Amino acid sequence: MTNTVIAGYILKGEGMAQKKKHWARSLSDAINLATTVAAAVAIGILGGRWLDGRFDTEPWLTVIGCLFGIATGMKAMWDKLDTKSDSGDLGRGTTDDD
Amino acid sequence: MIFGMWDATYFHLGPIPVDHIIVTEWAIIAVIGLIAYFATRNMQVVPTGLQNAFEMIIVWTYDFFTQLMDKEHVAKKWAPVLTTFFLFILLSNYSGLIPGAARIEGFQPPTSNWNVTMTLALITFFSVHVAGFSENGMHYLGHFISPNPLMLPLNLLEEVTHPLSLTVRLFGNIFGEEMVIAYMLFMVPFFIPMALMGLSVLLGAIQAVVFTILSASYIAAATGEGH
Repeated sequence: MTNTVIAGYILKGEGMAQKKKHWARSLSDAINLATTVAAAVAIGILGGRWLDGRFDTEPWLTVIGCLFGIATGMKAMWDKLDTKSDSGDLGRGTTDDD
Repeated sequence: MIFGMWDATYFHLGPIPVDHIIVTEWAIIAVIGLIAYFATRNMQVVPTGLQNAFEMIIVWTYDFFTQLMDKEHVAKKWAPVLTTFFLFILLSNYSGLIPGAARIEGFQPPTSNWNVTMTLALITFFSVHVAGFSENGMHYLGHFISPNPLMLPLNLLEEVTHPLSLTVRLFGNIFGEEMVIAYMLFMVPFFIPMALMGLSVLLGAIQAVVFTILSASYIAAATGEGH
């Protein structure tokens, strides 16, 4: 573990940091997933509507865009669950004491 | 504070119109710059006063981002940017709470304008990719075709959702809060707006923290082991 001294204080090294699951990481995961899914669906629908307007294909590209957005949201959730299960975080919560 | 009532363009810098939002941003930047100047103008080995307070804050932020981002060198590299985000957004959110702000023509918190929040989100977006390339080189491109090349469109769309969600979350929260306070001021002039303003102190801090933490987590993801 490498410690760094700045202004007389000792900063924790990488080894120490990796052992702790920071509360902010859990918070960002929670906020991120919800808004990523919503934003993906919104972008899909808006992009589809714009393309429908350009190519006069209403409503097919809007539907495809919506499905595309839903798929992206599901993939984002899957990736997050995959990462959590790899790190053994699933099902036991995370605290600063981890 | 009562926004949407003015569309004040004060002057032009070449082709760029300078309006009340930009002037407020300049004032906030000046405040942050002045505090930083006074904290660092006469640095001592054994710090006292403002220098001492700033060193404590800097050490705390380095420690915080090191724990959040896993890699110490990445955290140290990006902590100044992220801390600046936090301070700028916090002061922007709070600028609507300055006593008498409602009487200043054209005054409104910059973060209640989506142009400002989108600019901040785009800085995060480009910072994430700069961090990804600087940490992993060209291997960083590999995460766009992970787990297989068929996922490229979904991965690209996911990348675009990050700045959009950052933009809309910050803008929506601050805009909504300002709207509610403005309408309450017209309807019930004293006690209820005061309570809402108290709540907006908490909301302003939470939104600044959320934006900063999400930016840090995006950078951490781009520089992580998987890329």
